[in-house]
Amino acid sequence: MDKIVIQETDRSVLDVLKLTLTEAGFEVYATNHLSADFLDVIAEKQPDLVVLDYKLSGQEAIQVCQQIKTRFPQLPIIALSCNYNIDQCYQQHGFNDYIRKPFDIDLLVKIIRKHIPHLSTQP
Amino acid sequence: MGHHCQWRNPGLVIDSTLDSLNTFGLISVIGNQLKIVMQEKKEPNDFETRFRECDAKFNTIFNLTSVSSKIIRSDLTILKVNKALCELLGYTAQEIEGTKILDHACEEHIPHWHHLQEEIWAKKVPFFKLEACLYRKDRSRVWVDVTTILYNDQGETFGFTVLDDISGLKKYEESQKRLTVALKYSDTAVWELNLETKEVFRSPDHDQIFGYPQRQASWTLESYYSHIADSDLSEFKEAISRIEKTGGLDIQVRLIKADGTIRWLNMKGKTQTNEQGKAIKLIGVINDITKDKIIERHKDDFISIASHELKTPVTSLKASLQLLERSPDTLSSRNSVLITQANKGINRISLIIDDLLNAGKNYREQLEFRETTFNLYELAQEICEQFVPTGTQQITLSGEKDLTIHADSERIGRVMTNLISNAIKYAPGTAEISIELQDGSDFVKVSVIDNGPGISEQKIPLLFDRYYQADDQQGQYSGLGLGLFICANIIRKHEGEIGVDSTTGQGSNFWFTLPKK
Repeated sequence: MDKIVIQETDRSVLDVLKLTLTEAGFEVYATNHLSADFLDVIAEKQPDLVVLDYKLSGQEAIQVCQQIKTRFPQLPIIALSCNYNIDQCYQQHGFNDYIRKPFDIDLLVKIIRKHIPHLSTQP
Repeated sequence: MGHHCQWRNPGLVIDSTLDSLNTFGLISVIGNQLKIVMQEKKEPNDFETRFRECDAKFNTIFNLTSVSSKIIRSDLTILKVNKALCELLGYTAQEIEGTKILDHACEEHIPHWHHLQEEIWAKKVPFFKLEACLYRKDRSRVWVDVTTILYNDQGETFGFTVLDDISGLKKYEESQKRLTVALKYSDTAVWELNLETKEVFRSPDHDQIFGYPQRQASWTLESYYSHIADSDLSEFKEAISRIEKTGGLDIQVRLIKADGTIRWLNMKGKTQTNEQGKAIKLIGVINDITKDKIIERHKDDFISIASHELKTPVTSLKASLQLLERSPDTLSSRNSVLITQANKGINRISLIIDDLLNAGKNYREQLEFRETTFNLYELAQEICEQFVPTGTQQITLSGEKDLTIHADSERIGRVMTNLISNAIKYAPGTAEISIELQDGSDFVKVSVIDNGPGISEQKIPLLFDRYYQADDQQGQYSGLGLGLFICANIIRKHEGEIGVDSTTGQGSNFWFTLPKK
């Protein structure tokens, strides 16, 4: 089963994300904050993709994205953002893609699927 | 030895030799110097005739010269004025003669002028000069440069005064002063870059913008380089190198002031060419835009925070509703309808939040479209169904049922919703609101027609402006006044047109067209 690590600050958004992606067939590790050992969590979980909450100016998410990219260069990272101009800046900060909030759940799954190289055959 | 009477004035030189005159007279005005020399001569031949001739010539000159002049006696009474002075002050000679010049002076100049008059008549000074303001007959003011000298004629002392109209000069000086003050308080400098020598001519406060309290001896293009932050310098040099091609410059750079502080500058200019069409100089303005940059950042921060605060709850609500809609449990038809309605509502709220936050930006640039091919009639039908019919009002739809169009259906739906809402809101008495779809050869046209009070001709051009709200003196209509402004942007971005045909008392027809793609 394809694994996703999601970090989303808002608990209710995190809950629906987890439910949506679990129902879509992903194994989801969800957290609402970027802990100091976040990179260790990634090392341990070995996800196929990471979703980060690009909150406000996105400083925290950008910093963590760059740290992840240094340690796991092949791991796709998606920015989840309320910013209207996220489409113009996600790439320069190292993100592979972006999802705008509020999202359509079909679009969310479609974007995530685009970055996971192979579809899992497992249920 | 001949006798000489000379009056010199720019453009006017009259010379007369008076051989037998016993008075040698010389009156000359050269630049600001005025001299009259009267000298005794001992040959009495036809003295009277010669004197009269000289006097007549002097009077002619006195009257013809364009320099306003007057002659006064020791009690300061004006004895004689010329035509130029009459024209300058707007009086006839009779009205001025017999008055004193200080009767016409503006109050603030009287004490100083009076003091100078006292000094000259007390023979403490040979002449005096001052700049002063006089009232014309119509009480308007005129600036004059005053020069008075004394001369003797037949044992009596007279004053001869020349009043040069310097209003034009004063206006220019005041205009310069205003410009300097305006530039100073708007943190703006004027610069003129010579594209050959690279020298820069600049306004008085130019160097202060760069952090120099004292004006520098010279300024060249190179002088800017040391003040522009490294990160912006190559872009600045590139823009300068392309000046001939682009015809000007408009660049925002970070400035490192002489004291090391950092400010933002906007450097703008247009080139001027010589007769061969070669750009020889760049003339423009340099603005300190640091405050604008701070405001821009605050605005971005506000939009970012508002966006986050508004969109986060909508995100969980929207996703939850979508999940509910796909519930594996069978939903009752009642609950299914309710969830569908809630979904539509949340989608509309999402769009409104986007539109509101983007309204602060360049709306047409920021509007993102999600275009699909859809049935316009079905969309119109769906929109019409959202409006609950009242006992007195009815919404009807007519047009081709298989009319499809390629556009952003959500937003076209919003435009229709907005036009219908407006018809309901502003034409409450109308019995029927009809929606008509017309299939043209290149365009489709959607019209929303009401039989309400109509819109006056003067208001029609304002309707599509941001924040305009028609007839809301009592505040009876809620809303931001953004409705038609947003509609217009949506339609224009689709390369369509939006407009209204209306006559007071005969209802309105709000319409838009969309190109067929």
